[in-house]
Amino acid sequence: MKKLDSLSLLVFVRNWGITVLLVLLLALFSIWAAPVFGTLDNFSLILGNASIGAIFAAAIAMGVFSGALDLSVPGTAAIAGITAGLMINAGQPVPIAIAAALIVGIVIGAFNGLVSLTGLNPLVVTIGTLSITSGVAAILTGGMPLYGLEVLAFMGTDTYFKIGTDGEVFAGIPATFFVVLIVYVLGTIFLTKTRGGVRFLAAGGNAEALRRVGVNANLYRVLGFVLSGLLAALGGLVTAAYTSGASPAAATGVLFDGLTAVALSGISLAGGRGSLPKVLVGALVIATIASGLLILNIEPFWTVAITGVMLIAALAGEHAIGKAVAKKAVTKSTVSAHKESK
Amino acid sequence: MFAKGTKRVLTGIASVGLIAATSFTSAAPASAAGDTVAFSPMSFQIPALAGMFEGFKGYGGSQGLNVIQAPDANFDPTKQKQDLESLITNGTIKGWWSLAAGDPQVLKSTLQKAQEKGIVAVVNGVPKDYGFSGMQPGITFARINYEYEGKQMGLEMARCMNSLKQSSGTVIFGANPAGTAGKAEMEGEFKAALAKYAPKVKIVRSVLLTGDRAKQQTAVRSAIQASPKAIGIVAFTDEGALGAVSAVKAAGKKPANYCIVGAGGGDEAIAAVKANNIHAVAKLNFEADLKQTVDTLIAMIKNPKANGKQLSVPLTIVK
Amino acid sequence: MTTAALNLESIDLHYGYVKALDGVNFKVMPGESVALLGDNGAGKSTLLKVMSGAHRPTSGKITVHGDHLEFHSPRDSAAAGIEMVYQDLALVDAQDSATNLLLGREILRRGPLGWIGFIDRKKMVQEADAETDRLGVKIANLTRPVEMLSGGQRQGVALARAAVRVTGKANGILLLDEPTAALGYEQKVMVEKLIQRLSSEGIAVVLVTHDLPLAFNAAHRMVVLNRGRKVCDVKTSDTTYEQIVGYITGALPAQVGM
Repeated sequence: MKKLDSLSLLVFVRNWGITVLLVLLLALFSIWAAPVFGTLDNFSLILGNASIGAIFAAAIAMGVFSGALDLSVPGTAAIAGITAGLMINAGQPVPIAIAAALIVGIVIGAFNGLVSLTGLNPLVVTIGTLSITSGVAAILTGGMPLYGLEVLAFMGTDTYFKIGTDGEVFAGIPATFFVVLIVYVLGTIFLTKTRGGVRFLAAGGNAEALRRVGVNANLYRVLGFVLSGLLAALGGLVTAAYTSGASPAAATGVLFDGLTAVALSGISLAGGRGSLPKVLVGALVIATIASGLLILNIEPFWTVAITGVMLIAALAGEHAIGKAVAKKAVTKSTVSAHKESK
Repeated sequence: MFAKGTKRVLTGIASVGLIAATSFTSAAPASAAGDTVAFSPMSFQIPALAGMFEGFKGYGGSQGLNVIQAPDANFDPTKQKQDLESLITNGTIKGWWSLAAGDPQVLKSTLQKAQEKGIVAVVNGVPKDYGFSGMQPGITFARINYEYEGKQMGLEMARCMNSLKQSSGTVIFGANPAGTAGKAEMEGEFKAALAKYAPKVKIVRSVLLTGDRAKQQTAVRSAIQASPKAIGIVAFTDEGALGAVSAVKAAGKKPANYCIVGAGGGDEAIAAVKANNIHAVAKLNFEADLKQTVDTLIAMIKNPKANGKQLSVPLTIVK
Repeated sequence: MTTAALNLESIDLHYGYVKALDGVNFKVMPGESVALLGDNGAGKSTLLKVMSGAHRPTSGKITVHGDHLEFHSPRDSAAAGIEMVYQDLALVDAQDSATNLLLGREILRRGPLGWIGFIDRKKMVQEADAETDRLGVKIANLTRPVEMLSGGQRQGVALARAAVRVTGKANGILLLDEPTAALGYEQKVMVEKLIQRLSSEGIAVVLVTHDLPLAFNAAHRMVVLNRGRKVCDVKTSDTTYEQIVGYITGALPAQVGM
């Protein structure tokens, strides 16, 4: 029997397509945008640039995985950043401020989850929450942004493991990327290796299945919002660290970027299936393209346009591959009188 | 439609509105026979404009005007037109200050009706916007002088580059997104002034500064990394300039060794100028604008047949 | 005489003026499998839903192993030992068969990792293998996502999932709604054998189906509904295809005493 048949190929493309794309892009730009692109400096910069987007992408992904689209993410991020900022400016120790911001995220997530359970459309609920959090954030600061939060630089603009010379400190891993690594590693372990993770994904894929076996599906739907809120708050914190300030204005752009990264990684927005690592790769692809085009001094409009085209291609591709896989797999697997070898 | 770039205008207005409201409401009360004027912005739902109304009421009151709110147009130009015309017909007001809710042309006939009844107005923009070819009796036009702003910024950039002995240095140009109000004028005049006063300075790279502060900071940082020798960075918003400061610091360099020029003038940006992180910021002085609007209205009410003026929002360069 | 596993007496169900079920008496003993037959709209799915707790009857009495119960939701019937396999199967497509089979009963690792919820995948696949073996359900690849399985194999996973849960309870009751719709011949044989095996273990099985050969092969008894009324209740061995078809279509009048 052939080892590499068309089904395996399709499955490979589905699982690894986005990573292959990233590698190809890196190679392409290293040649095309030499010498600046293919340097450690620049890769370090790409990691940093992708970080904030990757954290918000993870927030949105967690919601999507469990079957909910959380549009309140920018508002939660804003209010979390403001919370930390206000506390730091009031003299509170940094760890307390960070903890408070994260708790705010969890509370908002729980609120979203519980209200959705009453049967209201989660989309509408989270939009409502977005308005509320933006409004509260504006009231707390009188509409003005906070600044002077350099003390958060350890998780913002600092880099670690620098290996540059002559005082060039670009090389090294940006602090923000460490946060990304922690989020993605913990998240992936949770989703793939724990019982909670399995049930969490099941709640997004087929909540009815959980109910049939007596598991409380609602618990996991709420958990989806809580995780999304927590990660949104973390995103707000990292943004505040990066810009040394916090703005009460909800940056709704993060929704678009996050959804793009999630959709680009071939994850069905209907929920239930998900691979966090692919989301990270998706975020890196977007940052790589932006970096390459900028170095080439190409009109910024092209970055947006190309990302849009890739997004549509990714969605169409995911759909087509999914159908092809199902068709080929089904024709292959038939029950025979004798057990097939596993 | 509400043009972009008005965001920084609104932030400025908001702070002014708050200040003016508190400082002027405690001043002398309006006289019993105070003239009534109306405020008609594009929408009262925007907190900055609501704040502006408070400021207008406060300062106007201290000068003897009775300031009222026109019904909320909420971005509907037809409604704004009808509401203003009702106020005109009723004879309720002696004048008004409006920010067009949509295409200013819609208000041309309204202004003509006002002129017939001797009612005066301060409106935003220039005569051409409203379909007039020159100055009009009883109407004063107020605009942001984008050309002047851009020119001053270019001049400052040239000064800074020369003072840092970088007369042949390079500049990173932070562009506004397409559709931003005044983009062509500001950016064009900036480049012209820079070319005139520092002819050997070149703009080596252009980045689009759009989105929130973090995004703009990232864009500047990438530009710095791609053009590491550039010494000048210009942005046309506070976020862009402050993002440039953070980006320079994150790259391990000192902002004082750079020529960062911005526009806006919020508190954080002014503080950055004082800390020598930003060389210069073009600040629109909305407090002065409010004052000149009120003073102009009072003067016009006294003499409605005289031609109005073209005002600009006063601009200061903070450095 | 042993107690019936499930006994429905005088079940009425009205939707406004429509009588979906009219005075239906239905009983199944432990270890017995009963086929519930009837044309479209005869009320067999509705009756099944009453048994599963998804619909509340307008009037009538439900008794499970002698206990009079009222079902307010499918949860109540599940608590009473009744498992149902719906036509929609409710499988988690992206996960593999082992995970689907053991959903809600995941096997945790030993030691501290297990305390925080880490799964032992190897053990789960082994367990799933053993369970499907025991039931005689053949699933080609337990580690392949179920969306990649054929309709018949997915049916197998859904059946096995319910069957394992129902054998876990003493004298469980299994309700099947059109289990062989869209199945090939070999898979139908698998379903028949599964039902027979479950019966032999003391499980009561109620089988709603259009598939007469399946009913004749797998059921001890047949009940036919026509327009919400029970018209026939016979031992399989006492009847023929033609008779059953006659009751279904209404060609034959209802039996006496239904």
